Amino acid sequence: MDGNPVIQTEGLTKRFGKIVAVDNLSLTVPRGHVFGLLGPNGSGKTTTMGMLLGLTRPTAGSFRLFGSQSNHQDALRRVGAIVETPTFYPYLSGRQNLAYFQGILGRGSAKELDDLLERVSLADRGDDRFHTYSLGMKQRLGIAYALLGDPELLFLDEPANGMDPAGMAEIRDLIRSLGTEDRTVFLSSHLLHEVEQVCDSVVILSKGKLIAQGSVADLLQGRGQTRLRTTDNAQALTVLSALDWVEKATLEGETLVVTAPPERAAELSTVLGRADIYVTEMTSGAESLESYFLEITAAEEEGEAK
Amino acid sequence: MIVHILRLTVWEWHKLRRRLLPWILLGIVVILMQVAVWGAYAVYRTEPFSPQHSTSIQSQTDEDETVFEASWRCKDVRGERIPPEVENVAEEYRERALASVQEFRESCTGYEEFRNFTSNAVLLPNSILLGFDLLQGTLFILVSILGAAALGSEYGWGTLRTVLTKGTGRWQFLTAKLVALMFTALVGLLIAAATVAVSSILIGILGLEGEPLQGSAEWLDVPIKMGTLLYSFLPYAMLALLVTTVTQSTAAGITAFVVYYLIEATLFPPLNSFEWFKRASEYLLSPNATALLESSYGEVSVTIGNNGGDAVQPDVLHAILVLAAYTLVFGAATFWLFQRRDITGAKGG
Repeated sequence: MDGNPVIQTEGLTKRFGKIVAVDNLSLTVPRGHVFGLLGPNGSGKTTTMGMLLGLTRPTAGSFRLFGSQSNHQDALRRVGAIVETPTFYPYLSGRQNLAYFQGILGRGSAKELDDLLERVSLADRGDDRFHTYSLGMKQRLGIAYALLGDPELLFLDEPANGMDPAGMAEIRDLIRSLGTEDRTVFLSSHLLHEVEQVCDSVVILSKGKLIAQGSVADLLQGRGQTRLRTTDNAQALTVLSALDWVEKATLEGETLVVTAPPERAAELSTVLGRADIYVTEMTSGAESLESYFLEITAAEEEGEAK
Repeated sequence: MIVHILRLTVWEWHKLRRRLLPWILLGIVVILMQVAVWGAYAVYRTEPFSPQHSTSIQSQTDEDETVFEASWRCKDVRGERIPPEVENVAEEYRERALASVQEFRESCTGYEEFRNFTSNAVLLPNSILLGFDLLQGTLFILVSILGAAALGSEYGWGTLRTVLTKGTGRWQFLTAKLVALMFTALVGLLIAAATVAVSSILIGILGLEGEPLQGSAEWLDVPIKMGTLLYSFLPYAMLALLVTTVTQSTAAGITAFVVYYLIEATLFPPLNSFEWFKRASEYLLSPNATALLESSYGEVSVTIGNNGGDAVQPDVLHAILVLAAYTLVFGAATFWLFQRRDITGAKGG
């Protein structure tokens, strides 16, 4: 691993008419990381990938892959990608499709194809035509395609899309193993639990804007979440909301969800006890990436609305 | 760079060979060319268009009495042939019967020329040239369908995105597609020519007046004809690619070509009666394509579209330059647009 960033964008912007799909995006992806690109639908994730892959022309700003701005075509030869649902020639088999892309890349061997089909669990269906594949199989073939030529940088847009739980677990393990091979993975996914498990760092987009960036640990640091049941939830909510060190307190059914520094979780029951409210059940832990994501994107949307 | 484009071309050719559409189009070409050559042979053998002549001679003594009555076709009087019934006519009437034969023989001259043409047309290499000449309009349509489908399906299936994210390069990919398309057209023409050659040899075995390999045309005319066909295909193929790039749709690419073709065939001929249009038509596609193709072998003349009888026939150099200009303009627009447009996912169809 070296210190040179693999992806660097500066003020990257894409407009479709009046719609700003990506707004002044500047980010840096270091080599050897599994990097998550998160955001709700329409937040600009696929458009960002499209621009980095040369499929979409930026309206403004610039980007570099492997430090090079000028020779994007050569840089792409070091990249593997699947964007949205992988698309292949329906009249060719999975193996023939991979052979075609290997052919235009100008490197690789029949053994590489066998290994890749094996790696994505398609060895027994490799000779069937692509149009007979299920969505999950198409996704697997897409991952095999992305890995053709042993790329240094992988763009994976929703790689577990259409897969069953076992398939998702396989993909998660695969991405994790790819990240340990001195390869950089740029991953976009809605499955935040998966992202949290495999990504070193993430960028969160909302309406085309970058709203958070950093390592998963840094983003969630100091953001413990405690779930409580009390003898008087409504009163407890009022009491806890008034505390300046409690970031957020909400009532979810019969449970109070309190976001506060993990080291102060124990104080919650003391404070409530002083108000004659008794805790009947309490669990405490770090906040999940998912709840952080939902919170931060909701806050961004509220801010936009105001 | 050249190696990269060659590699892409080889793989484009590889993809085309595995598609069903090129084989269907080739099948259509082969069948139509076979119909042309075997049709010409059928006309030669059965003489369905041969003029018929009936003659009768009345008695010198009784006008109501017919002493000789016969009906002939041109084959009965061909060369110096005398119909057998004339031999049996009484001496005093034979002179008149022979005069009738001679008169009919002279009226057969036009038909005999046509028959000689058909017998010549099924000999090699004339049969190949005949097939290409009769089918050139169809060939233009088929090549345009193939061109529109080759690019349009990349948009439809969404595979363009998959191809370009491997660092293929846009203009390199389009160049490879165009070269593979023209190469496929050339291979198609060669296969069609080979099947016609086999048929000509079979026809020779079945029976002809001439030797099957002794047609009036030169063998060199065949590659010249193919070359002019391929050169004339270029602007039409580029037009199909341009419309496909604009609309990102196979159907639209084919439709645009057919509409243009129909406009040339139906709207332009009446306009040829105007002097200003006649001059303008020298710069349209089809009159120039026709002029170039007829220059390579004009014994069978079939126009592309229909320019009307009053149409001006441009000279060969003019035709070459106009077709090159169309190819360059359509090509430049296609490459410019293809290079700039955003590539999205599958569009279907």
